[in-house]
Amino acid sequence: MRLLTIILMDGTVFAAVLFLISVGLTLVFGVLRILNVSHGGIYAFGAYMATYLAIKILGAGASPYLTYLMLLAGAIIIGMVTGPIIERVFLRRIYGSDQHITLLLTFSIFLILDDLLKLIWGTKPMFVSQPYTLLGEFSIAGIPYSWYQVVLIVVSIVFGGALVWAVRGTRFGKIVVSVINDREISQAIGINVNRIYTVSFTLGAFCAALGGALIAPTISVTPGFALDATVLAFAVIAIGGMGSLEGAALGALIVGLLRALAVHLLPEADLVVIYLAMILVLVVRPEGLFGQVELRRI
Amino acid sequence: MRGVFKSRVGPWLSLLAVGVLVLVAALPTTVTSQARPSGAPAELKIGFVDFFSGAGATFGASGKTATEWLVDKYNSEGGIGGVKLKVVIVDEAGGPDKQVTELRRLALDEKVNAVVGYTSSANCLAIAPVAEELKVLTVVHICGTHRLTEDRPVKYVFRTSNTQASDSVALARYVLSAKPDVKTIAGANEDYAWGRDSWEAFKIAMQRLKPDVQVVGELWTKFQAGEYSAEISKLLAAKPDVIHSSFWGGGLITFVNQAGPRGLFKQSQVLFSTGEQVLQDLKTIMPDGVIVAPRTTGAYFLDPDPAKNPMQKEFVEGHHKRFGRYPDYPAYRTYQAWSGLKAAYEKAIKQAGRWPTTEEVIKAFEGLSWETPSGTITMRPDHQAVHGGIVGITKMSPKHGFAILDRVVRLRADDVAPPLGTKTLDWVGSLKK
Repeated sequence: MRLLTIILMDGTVFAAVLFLISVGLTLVFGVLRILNVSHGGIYAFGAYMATYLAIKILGAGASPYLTYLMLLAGAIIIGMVTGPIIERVFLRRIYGSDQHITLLLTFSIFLILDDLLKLIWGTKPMFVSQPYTLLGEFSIAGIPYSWYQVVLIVVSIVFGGALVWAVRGTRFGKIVVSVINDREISQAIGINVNRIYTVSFTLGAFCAALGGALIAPTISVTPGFALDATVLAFAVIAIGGMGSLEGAALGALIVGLLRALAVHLLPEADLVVIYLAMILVLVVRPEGLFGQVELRRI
Repeated sequence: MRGVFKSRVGPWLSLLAVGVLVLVAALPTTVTSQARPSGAPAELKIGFVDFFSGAGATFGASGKTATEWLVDKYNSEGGIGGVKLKVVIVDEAGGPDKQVTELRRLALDEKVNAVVGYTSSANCLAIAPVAEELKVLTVVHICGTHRLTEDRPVKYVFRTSNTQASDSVALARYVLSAKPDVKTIAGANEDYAWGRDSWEAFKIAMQRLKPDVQVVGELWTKFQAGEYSAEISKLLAAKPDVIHSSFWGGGLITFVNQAGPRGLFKQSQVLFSTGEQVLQDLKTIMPDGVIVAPRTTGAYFLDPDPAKNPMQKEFVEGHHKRFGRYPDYPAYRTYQAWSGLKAAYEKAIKQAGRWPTTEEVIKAFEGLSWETPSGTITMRPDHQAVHGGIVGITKMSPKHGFAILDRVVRLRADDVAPPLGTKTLDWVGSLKK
């Protein structure tokens, strides 16, 4: 029972992290129908900017509690800057192209962003741990955890809920759904599809940057750190169903719990189980657990 | 137009001419202060290969600063045998296949005289046969796998620092002297050759040196994973007396960051084989009482005492002044490689009485002993260098603003490296106190 509690807790913590990384990816795929590999670069930029701002404000002698505000500020700045630039300058030119073109383009953007990071912040690891340690610790089943880990879980639930509400319960969401379903008809009835694309991609970029910013206090940001996270995020949305917010949540939970289970019971297999689960889902249900079968348009 | 051109450029040309004359006049006291042996090339072109992108860039940055500092120093002193060094920098990121191509490019296009570098074991193993085929003198500075010089005999490849097995044995010896009553051990290492080999050697060394030691956990994380929550929980639940980890760079910082607040360092004695490298980055986050090593390197910036060792003083102060950071163990190992190459060339020049061939440099390198800030390094005939190493325990230094090493123990080369002719794994498996 004690082991089960620990596994559940570890799995949920990891699931929260995974959800924050992958929700923007699935959102962008849902609306724009592109696999956005540059998501990982924006995620890294969010983490770097948040860390940089938090270090700066601590260096200025401000209250360490302000670092939380800096994390958010970092995510907003990066989301608002990278989102519109990448969508308007690059992606807009390749809508409707083959998937491999978008993959190559967004992968190139990812590599460029990774190099830009090094030009701006250098190659030495950067980290700010105050937001992680400031809230203190508590114990479950005799094992200490940081309250910040609980914050991550709560934020991912609230953030995920807010996104679902934004898509399902608002006028903007209804317009987005209409664009998802049929771009041409939406355009014909007067929806500014280009604007919806820009806003949706920027929202996806903000999600990526927020994921990076919130995870930054638990890690050290170094060049290349986002690559593995991006690969895992793809596994999560492949399991959950590309384009589905609920799918991202469920995928993150499955991957998180499987990994925690493996670490505690079969540490050698901690990665294998994740990709085994992905293969299993893709074989049984290729569109993912919450994915919808794409109809062929004539 | 022509008049304007003349009037503007004329004075500059005169100035340039005067400058050239002054330089030429100064030449005898600088460049030719060292007699150039006959047949000496105009410059000695050397490739330097290390990580400048990806997670390994944290090591490459130290390798590069040490190289810049040292090559500038050598060149200001006249280079090697009066020949200045020219460095061609290559990024080690991109995988073994890319490194093989890069080495071919260095040898065939850049026509380098030698190559210094390679941090990754996968890369050094991949390039070694190519270096032999191309007959390029290659001085490996950091790569840890013992297989580099043991799998097959090497002629053109040298390694100027200890292997990863030495790191594990050094830690085992240190922890058993500091905590002789250790009963349980666990490992948290990355799931690739470096992590697996490091843990395996540590586990065997512990079991050889204290046969009643029990292994209560073996954790394998993804390369530079960012999330260690579950692993930390497992280590907290297993409560081992000692935890061994070969995490490095950003992954190590993240692990310390996540494990510290959750009390792992209070519960168990943790050992980090590369811990010295991140002390300056971790600042106040690294808790006291953690056993850390600069792998099995014979120095870190405070030991040997710079006040008593001029070579150490010059390196530490020069590096810190120029780059704002004290040299860490990748910097010391880079120093070992460059100084070894220089010493080999100088010995070969002396022996040949002219500029030596690569084969003559190789002959001079074998059996050579040379001085570095990290002590005397000796190159064995099997092209594997041997030297001692230090291990210590962290203690916050308010003066430096980060943890330094306390209770430093200096292990002799014989304690941390197999004798010539003995395979590393056989040696670890037959260790004696």
